[in-house]
Amino acid sequence: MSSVLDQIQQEIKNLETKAVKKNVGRITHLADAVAKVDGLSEVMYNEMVEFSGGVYGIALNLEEDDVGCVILGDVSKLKEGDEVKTTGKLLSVPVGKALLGRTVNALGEPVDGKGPIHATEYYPIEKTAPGIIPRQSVDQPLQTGIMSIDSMIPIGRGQRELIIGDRSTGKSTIAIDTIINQARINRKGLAENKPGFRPVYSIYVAIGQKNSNIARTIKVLEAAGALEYTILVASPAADNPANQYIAPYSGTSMGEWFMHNGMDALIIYDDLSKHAVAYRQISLVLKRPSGREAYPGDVFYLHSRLLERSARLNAENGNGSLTALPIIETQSGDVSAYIPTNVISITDGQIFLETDLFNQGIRPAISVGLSVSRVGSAAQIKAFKQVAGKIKLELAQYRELAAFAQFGSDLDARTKKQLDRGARIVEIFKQPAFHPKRTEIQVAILWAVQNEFFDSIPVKQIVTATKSLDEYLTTTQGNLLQKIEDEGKLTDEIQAQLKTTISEWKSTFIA
Amino acid sequence: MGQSAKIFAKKLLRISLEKNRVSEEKVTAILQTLRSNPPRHYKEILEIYLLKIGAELRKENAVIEHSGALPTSTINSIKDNLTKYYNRHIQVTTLNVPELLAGLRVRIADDVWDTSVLNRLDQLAQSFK
Repeated sequence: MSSVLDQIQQEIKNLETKAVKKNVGRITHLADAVAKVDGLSEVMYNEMVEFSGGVYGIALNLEEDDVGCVILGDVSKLKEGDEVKTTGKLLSVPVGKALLGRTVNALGEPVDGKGPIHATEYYPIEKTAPGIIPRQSVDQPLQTGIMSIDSMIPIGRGQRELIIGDRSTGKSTIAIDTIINQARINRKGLAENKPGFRPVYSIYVAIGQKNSNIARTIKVLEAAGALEYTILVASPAADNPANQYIAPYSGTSMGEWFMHNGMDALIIYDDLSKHAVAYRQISLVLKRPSGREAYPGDVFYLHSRLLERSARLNAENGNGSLTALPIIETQSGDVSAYIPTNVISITDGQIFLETDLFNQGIRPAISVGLSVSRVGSAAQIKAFKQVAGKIKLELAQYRELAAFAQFGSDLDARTKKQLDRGARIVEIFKQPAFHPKRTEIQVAILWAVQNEFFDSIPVKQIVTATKSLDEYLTTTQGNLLQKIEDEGKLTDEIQAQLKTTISEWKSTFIA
Repeated sequence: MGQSAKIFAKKLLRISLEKNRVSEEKVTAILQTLRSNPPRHYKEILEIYLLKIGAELRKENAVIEHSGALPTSTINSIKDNLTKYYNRHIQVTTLNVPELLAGLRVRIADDVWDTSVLNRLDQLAQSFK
């Protein structure tokens, strides 16, 4: 009995009352989701600060007499005179596989009504990008499922490829198609339990979009079975600019978790134009000096430090990758504007979408002449290189001749053949939205094009023919497609099989 | 206009300090000089000067918030520790705040040292979120 009492007394003696030191300030000015705080003498730049009522903010302007903080949360709870304290921490978001299939806000809090997220790790939203030594060159393909991209503008894992175009030209559709294709590949690969198979997890960051658009995107992903491999970070137009500002960084932190743990991830920023506008708004309210088009002087750094975090790491650092598809909206096709040129100079290539092509019915409306992938065929499987090598050149020749041919009707046979071939290639690259194609199907179709199987089919029937060939191969030639996938290249045997198969299909199609 | 008043007020603050402390005599002398020879934007300068002197004085004065009785020895101990920590002479005043339940909260300039039961309950509540 006495030993029990002794134990408790000892426990009481051992209790130490530690004094907790906080650095505090008071709100002197509050407007437009930005608070000016008097005090906070020990606050650091980008430090998370806590307002009363559990509202958080970030200290962005450290001035001599006050601190400018952006507020992340409900501003209506705050008033002048409220106490603000430092937390000693950087703003962090939950990361990990627990977020897959969930929709979260810029702070990583769930907004889909599916309950709390049980994350075990947290990453700061601002992180230094990997240096030069941990990186490796991009050599693994990321198949978008869109034939014109995979054949002529191939994207690799770890690359940053910009999707740029005017409003309503199909930019988000390309991004969503890519996510759906990754989900399809993941499902197949994980079911087959292939050795060396690496799934790609997707993160879609919606910045400044309408809530209806985000809801529609979620529905499309859900219907395609892609949501289980995707994290959605939603910062809609109704969100305050500070949340829109940090949303891409939060998404990148979630993607970095996969990269640092030896996995591959894809992140889509839709779109960075609205992100720049949100940052401009914050900077102007913070009274930072404005530059060109009223953007602050560090608007390049805003995007460069974001996109540099996407990389391919070498084997010593886990062999993971984070591929970025940032989206930029142009006005009247002006790619020489401020923000578009900034992001073009940062990324490893761009996919340029034209309104004219879209209106002509060429969808995806990719301008092959202006689009480029700086990684190129290093990120293509050999089978693709065998069939797609000449396609870009043929299309370029077709475009040049098409303009010339409008003025004359007497064309030599070779020119006519080039025009016919080019018109058919344009039709073949048309693809409906949210229907990405398997790599093997793409290879087979392009092989058929190169071997003149489509030359006798009228141009107006090419889209129907392509769809028919796709269905034929999928339903009856599973073994052949599997062989192409396993080999990764078109051997003589495979080519002979393709010849037989496509001839059979063609006879049934014409009939 | 605001910038030049700020710069002027900062200079006034510098000459108001003696051994890193606000000197009452110097402040009085400065005010007399300004009164007899008021500069441009006098009122604005005085307002900024007031804010800066207030901030300096807060660095020298600690407020000990407590709940219940507070022995003099504890007050002296806190004063000595703060003087040692901040390397400056600190004056303390006490304030009874029953909401703290127990323990102390010491405020000096922008720093708050909190060992109150209220703070520990807040931390406990935060840990459940």
